[in-house]
Amino acid sequence: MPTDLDAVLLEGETLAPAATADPLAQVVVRILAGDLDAFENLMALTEAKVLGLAWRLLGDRDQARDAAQEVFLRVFRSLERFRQEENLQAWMYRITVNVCCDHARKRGPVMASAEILDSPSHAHPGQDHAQASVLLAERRALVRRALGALTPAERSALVLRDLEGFTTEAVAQTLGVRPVTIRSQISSARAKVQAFCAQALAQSPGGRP
Amino acid sequence: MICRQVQDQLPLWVEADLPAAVLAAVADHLQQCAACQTRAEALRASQAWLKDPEPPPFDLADRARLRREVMARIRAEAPRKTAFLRPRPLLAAAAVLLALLGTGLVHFLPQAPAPARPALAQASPRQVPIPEPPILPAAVPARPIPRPHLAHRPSPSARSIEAEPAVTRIELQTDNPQVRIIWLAQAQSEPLDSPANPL
Repeated sequence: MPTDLDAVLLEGETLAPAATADPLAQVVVRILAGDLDAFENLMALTEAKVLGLAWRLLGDRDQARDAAQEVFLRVFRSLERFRQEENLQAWMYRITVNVCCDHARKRGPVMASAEILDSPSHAHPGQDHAQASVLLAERRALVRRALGALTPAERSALVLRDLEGFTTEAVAQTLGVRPVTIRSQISSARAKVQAFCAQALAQSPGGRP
Repeated sequence: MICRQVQDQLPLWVEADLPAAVLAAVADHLQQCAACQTRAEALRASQAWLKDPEPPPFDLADRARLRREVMARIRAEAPRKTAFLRPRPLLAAAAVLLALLGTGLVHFLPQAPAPARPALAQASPRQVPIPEPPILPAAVPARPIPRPHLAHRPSPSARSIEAEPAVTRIELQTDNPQVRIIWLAQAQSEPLDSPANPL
């Protein structure tokens, strides 16, 4: 059964054997051959992941969109230097993390973004929302604030490990550090998130959520 | 394990990021220690919240907009980026032509003089000051001339045009036989048999 990735290959097109292992690598071959439409295909295949990761790392919709735009421009400009034997998705994740860390450093620490303050419980408590969904939204906003309180390195490690589902070794490889460093960062990050949530719940009336 | 050691390991223990032996030791301790058990439960709860994230707030329109903006910039800079990569027939032909011409010129160029010897020439005013292969007169001074060697000799053409002021051409031969410094200077006309003219 053809998949979305199969559709990006032109009919009758042949590829080098090394490029057929990773579907994304096939797209890269076409981009390097000067096919700009193939880059649009690459974006269609990866933009949701890049946007999602950027949003989790930055906690802000507009900044995540700006960061994702920069990520794809960097990918295009440095694609010639990408080694074909490397995993393209991991490479793009690394660029995304680097771009988001740059954005976070320029922006400085985040106290609470407008989106978090506009979460349903703050904006219209109880209106047209079941209580469960309100609690869920509050809980997610709380986690987002907790992530915002982490250092960029801790946040990157935790998001990749616990939210994106990478193994510790894969996170280490993606970020270019040793696994022991990642374990240290995610240990510290999990403890901080737990402490942040516990403190927020202790201060909220009724201990919600 | 004591409580402090266990509590240090709990953030990794909740996601099984520890060796099997350590995981087992922590589990054993938790069965006996209520305080550590409470901390472990709190961590489990926050991890459950963390791993139930809200979906990113981007719909298809956001993604299409991102793609449109990125592709617009990429198409704008792609000609510059790929210009060096695309084969350009005219450029290649020009390169081949230049290479052929260069090879031909090397064959037709006069050979450089073997010895570095003093040279002397006096050019007419209309002569272009292009370095020439050395024209060594038969009557090279017998006495040794210290370097840099300077000498003057009127050219036949200069002799025939006495009304025009002569241009003195002075050649300095450096130690490198391939390098010669040529200086053209306006000089006053003097009789050819003047004592000031050494030749």
